[in-house]
Amino acid sequence: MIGLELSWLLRNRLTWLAILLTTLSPLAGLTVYRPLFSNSESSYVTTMQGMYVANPALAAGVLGAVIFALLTVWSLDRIRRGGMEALTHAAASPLTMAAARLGALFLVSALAQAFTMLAWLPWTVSRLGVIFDQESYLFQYLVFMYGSIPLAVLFAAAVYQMIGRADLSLSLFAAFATLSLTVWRGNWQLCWLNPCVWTVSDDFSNYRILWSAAYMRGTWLAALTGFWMFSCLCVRRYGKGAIGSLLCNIRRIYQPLFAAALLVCAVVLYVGQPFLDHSSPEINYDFLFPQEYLETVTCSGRYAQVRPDPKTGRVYGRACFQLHSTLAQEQNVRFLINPGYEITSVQASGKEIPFMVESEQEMNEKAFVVTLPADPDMELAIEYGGYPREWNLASDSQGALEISNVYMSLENDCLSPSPYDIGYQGETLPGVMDLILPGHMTPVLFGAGTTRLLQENGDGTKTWRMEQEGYHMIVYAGDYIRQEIPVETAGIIVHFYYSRRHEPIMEALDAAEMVRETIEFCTEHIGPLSFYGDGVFNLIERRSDGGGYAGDGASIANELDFTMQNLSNNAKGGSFAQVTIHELVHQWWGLGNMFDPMDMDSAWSAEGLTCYTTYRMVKELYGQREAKTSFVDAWQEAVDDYYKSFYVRHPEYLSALPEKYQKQIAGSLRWIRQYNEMPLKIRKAEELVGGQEAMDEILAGLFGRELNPEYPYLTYEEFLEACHLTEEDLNLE
Amino acid sequence: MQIEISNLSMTYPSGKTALEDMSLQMKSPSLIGLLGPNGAGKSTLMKLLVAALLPTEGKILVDGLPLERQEQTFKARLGYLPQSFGLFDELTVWQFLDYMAALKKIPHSREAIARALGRTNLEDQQKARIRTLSGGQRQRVGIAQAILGNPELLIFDEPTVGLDPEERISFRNLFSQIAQERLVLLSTHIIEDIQSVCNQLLVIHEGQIRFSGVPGELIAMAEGYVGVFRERDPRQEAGLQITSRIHTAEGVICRAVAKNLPDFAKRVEPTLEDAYLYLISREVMS
Amino acid sequence: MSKIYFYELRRLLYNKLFFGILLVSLGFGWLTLTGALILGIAHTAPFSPWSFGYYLSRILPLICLGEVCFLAFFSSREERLAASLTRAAPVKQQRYLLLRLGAVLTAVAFLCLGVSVLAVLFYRALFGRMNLGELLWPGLLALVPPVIFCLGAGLALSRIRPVLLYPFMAVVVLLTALPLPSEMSLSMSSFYSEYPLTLEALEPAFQVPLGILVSRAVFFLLGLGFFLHF
Repeated sequence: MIGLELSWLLRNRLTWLAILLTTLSPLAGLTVYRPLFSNSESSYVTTMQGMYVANPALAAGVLGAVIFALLTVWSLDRIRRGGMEALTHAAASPLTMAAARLGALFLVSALAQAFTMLAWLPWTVSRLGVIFDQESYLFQYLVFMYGSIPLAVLFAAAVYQMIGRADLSLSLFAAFATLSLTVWRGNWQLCWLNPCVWTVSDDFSNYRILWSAAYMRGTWLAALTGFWMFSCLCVRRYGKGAIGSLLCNIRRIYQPLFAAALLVCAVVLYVGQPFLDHSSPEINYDFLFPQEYLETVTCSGRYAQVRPDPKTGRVYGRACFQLHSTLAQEQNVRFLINPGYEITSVQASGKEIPFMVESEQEMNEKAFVVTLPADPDMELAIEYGGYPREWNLASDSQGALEISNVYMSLENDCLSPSPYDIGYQGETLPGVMDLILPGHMTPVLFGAGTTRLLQENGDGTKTWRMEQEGYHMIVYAGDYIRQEIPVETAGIIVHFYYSRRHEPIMEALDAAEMVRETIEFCTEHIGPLSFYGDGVFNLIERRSDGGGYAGDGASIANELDFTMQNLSNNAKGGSFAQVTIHELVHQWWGLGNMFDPMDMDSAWSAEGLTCYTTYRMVKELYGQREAKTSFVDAWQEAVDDYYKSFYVRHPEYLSALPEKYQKQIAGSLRWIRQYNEMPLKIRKAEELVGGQEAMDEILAGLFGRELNPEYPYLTYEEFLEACHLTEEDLNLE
Repeated sequence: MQIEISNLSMTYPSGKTALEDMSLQMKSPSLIGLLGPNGAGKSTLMKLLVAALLPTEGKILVDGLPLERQEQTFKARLGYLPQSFGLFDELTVWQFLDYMAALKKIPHSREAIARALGRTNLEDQQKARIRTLSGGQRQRVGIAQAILGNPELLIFDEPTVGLDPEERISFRNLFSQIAQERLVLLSTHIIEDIQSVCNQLLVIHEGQIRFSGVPGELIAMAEGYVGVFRERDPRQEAGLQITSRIHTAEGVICRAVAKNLPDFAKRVEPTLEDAYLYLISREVMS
Repeated sequence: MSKIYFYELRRLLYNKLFFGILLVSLGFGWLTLTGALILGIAHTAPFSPWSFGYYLSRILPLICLGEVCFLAFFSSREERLAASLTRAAPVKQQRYLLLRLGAVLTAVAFLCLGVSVLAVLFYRALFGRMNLGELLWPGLLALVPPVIFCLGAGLALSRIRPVLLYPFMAVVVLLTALPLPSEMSLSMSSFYSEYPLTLEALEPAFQVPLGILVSRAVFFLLGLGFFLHF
């Protein structure tokens, strides 16, 4: 039956036109529709795979879906218009016919997909060069592009079967597609047509984002298949209308049951998605940072053995803490862990003890409370495991917690649980971790710590031992190579870790020179970094998620800063590794006790001085014009916008709005103040204090200031005082 | 009302000639049956008569005036039921007739609608939405809108399609009643309907009128050309137009029409159906 | 003939097509109001004429799509079959067509009214009393020329071949959704969101540059021209 329908479809010229248009549709992803995040304001910058695979595939997904929805409605309507239904229904059951038509449309769409992938393959290979990876190409096209087409066919067919009118079916499809493209755009589980893909990696793997997009489409597939099955009940029979036919068809109970089962399955998939946590939408810093530690319990050391499973993306581990209690009775202590993990057992000195996982989740953490026995000293062992979940507030930029055979990101509580309210027994806390990785992977420990190969295991894995002080560790693993960059003027050796696949591009970009120049600039203008005991500093290329961060002794290098496209831009002097420079500068501004982490709502944060210093650095290395365009003008534009914003000018209207809207508006305004208004104010201060050199002197003074142990953070008032300026002096209006 | 058709030809843009040099006179009161095989040109003739098409040649005069000069006034005197038509499914029967009455500018529409509903036996369905009606009921709504306002000329193209035998008989009686003072043109394939009510018959074939007269004249034309015989060998049928084949205890009794009846066939009185078949097939047979 | 008009209007309004489009428009309108609009467009108040115009421009694709669907409703196969009856009636076809187009325009006006009332209720609920009179001109400017253009062009296309209305729906969506210059766009979203930024004053009074006025007039006249020609 499918064969007959298929041959009927393939005999029609319009079907071939649909196939041709679908095959051409990736063109839109190279030109007008580039949904991936751009790392630059001035031009479109994303990874090479993003540029030449993901964007074309996503665009083809949108256009292919529209084309196939039209084809579906047209083909079903043609049968009806031609009065064929009466004939076909006499020969076969309407359900069989509907299934056959759907199957034929699926086969045609698969054909279009195959043509598209084959047609674009040679060109993509030529563009990507060493970056090309056939598995990635295949999966991206299948998930990003093909994922949407059966959904469109199912929806269009279902709606047409229910209402039997081409115009209305197409209107409803347009509404369904528009919803996905507009209102649901940021909702990763609802945007069936245009999945939330922030970025894809050139150098590392993309399984998590692919799984997430595939999961979303699987959920919709279940829902729309259920909807389609339900709509089959409305296939007109016995000359009745939609409801009459429904009442007749519903008597065959297995069909509505199956439809209902699929719809329930979709709801279960929607609610039980494994990728994101259930953190509350309001950020509560108290959840992460205790007001005070327990006075009766301390920790003198910790050990963890962690085994990430590259096949499933899950992590299993056992974390041990040496605890000391001064209270001769049971007491509760709290731990934080990634919300995706389950705690399988908690033992104190070998004996099982009770624990309770709290239902509340905040900022990508969940807490569990362990009831410690009344022993003075004990080894607390926690066994845990699961699929790490990402923060739901960043649902549209998923993919960071990648754990695959190519790359692993194991950050903080994704690696092992950490005590929430237990202080160190001494000044510091020795931490040891044994990490079992596939033999071909090298771990890179973020920050100042040591890593050594402990043993090679018989199953092809290797156990790496890492030592670092504190409760947390951040480890990236992959096929890394290490480049040593000595920066003599700063007395620092930078260990630059990047993917082996990227080696030729890094060399061509002369990334090492950029790193050296940045560190030299900051050392010269702000002061030497003092907190690296051994003078080694890690710069680690991480799977791109559009941003970066910095910590003690390490910064993140952004994959997007080092693309082949940037290489060609560099020749024109038009681009630079902005994010990486920003994260390198954070070594000076933002680490240690520089800014109060609790004061998140203030415009004064690490970002102001970091953005300013990055601007100065770019000005020196790339010239006044580049710095003005990329920084000052962009800040000014954002700040002008900010001051003109209706709610900034009329705060009385903001306070009258419901709380939900107030938070939404205030959040977007705060970001502008920290990243744009403050650097502009610092630049104004630079002018008022007499120029760059005077400002360098002030900043160097602030950087090397005597710390107040009560409140060691650098405040805005201190900055103003050092500049001999008042808050009003720096008003920009 | 008097309609005079002279030298009427109609060739479609595709090149197909539907009517060729047709001349005809129709005068009320009269019920004219229009017979002819599929594609003979019956529907084209009707469309030309309701000014839905313009002839390529020839003239249609209504009461002595060309149709195209008095289209609107002519349409006000016309009731038309085409072979295939659509209704506004979302309206009720009454609303649809009210709509058509407004379109036809029928005064006292309520009474006219009530009369049409009564004559088409649709009173019980007047509040039903048209989409809920059966095929036969839809056909009756079509007839009801055509007879709305008691027009002087009624043109029905296959009006009894989809009606049950009882309804069919009732409608042909209705047409007959209407024709007592009006001009009714009735196209159908059901010869029985024509035989029962039409006082004039037109047979059209290949765009031309092959017969115009009373049904008895057509029957008379076929006398001597219709016979029955008991079939002994299927080869007996060669050259004959078999009109019926009845299995009896004595064997198969065939009724045949032929220009030259064979000796083994016994001549019988022709029916209108025999006569129509004789007329249409005699050219082929000759 | 007013009876015919009311029947045609009734057929359009008592129809799942109309309710579907109205419901989708209101839903989309609500999401636009609570999403982009509540922040205020081009630094103006969410209830300014600029913001209101922007709001209408975002929903305009749906309204125009609805309008073309109404036209498609009147040129569907069923309607063409029914035309064999109506054509035999003593009414001038142009007049009959005018009545039907009047019904289409009225149905579209109901759609526009629905989304406008939604916005006004939203404004009232969040911002209290406000001057509704100043929303009239931007509303008319945003809605009338595109609606007339779609009516004329849709009518012309349906006269050539009814199936052409479906590609026309795609053209309407592109003309309204693509980031075209305001003069070329049916919806002019960018006019409402960008033009006020080029004016000196903050929260400028609603004003329309000549280019936009001309382009609206062109859309209006094109629609009228198509209508008269066909």
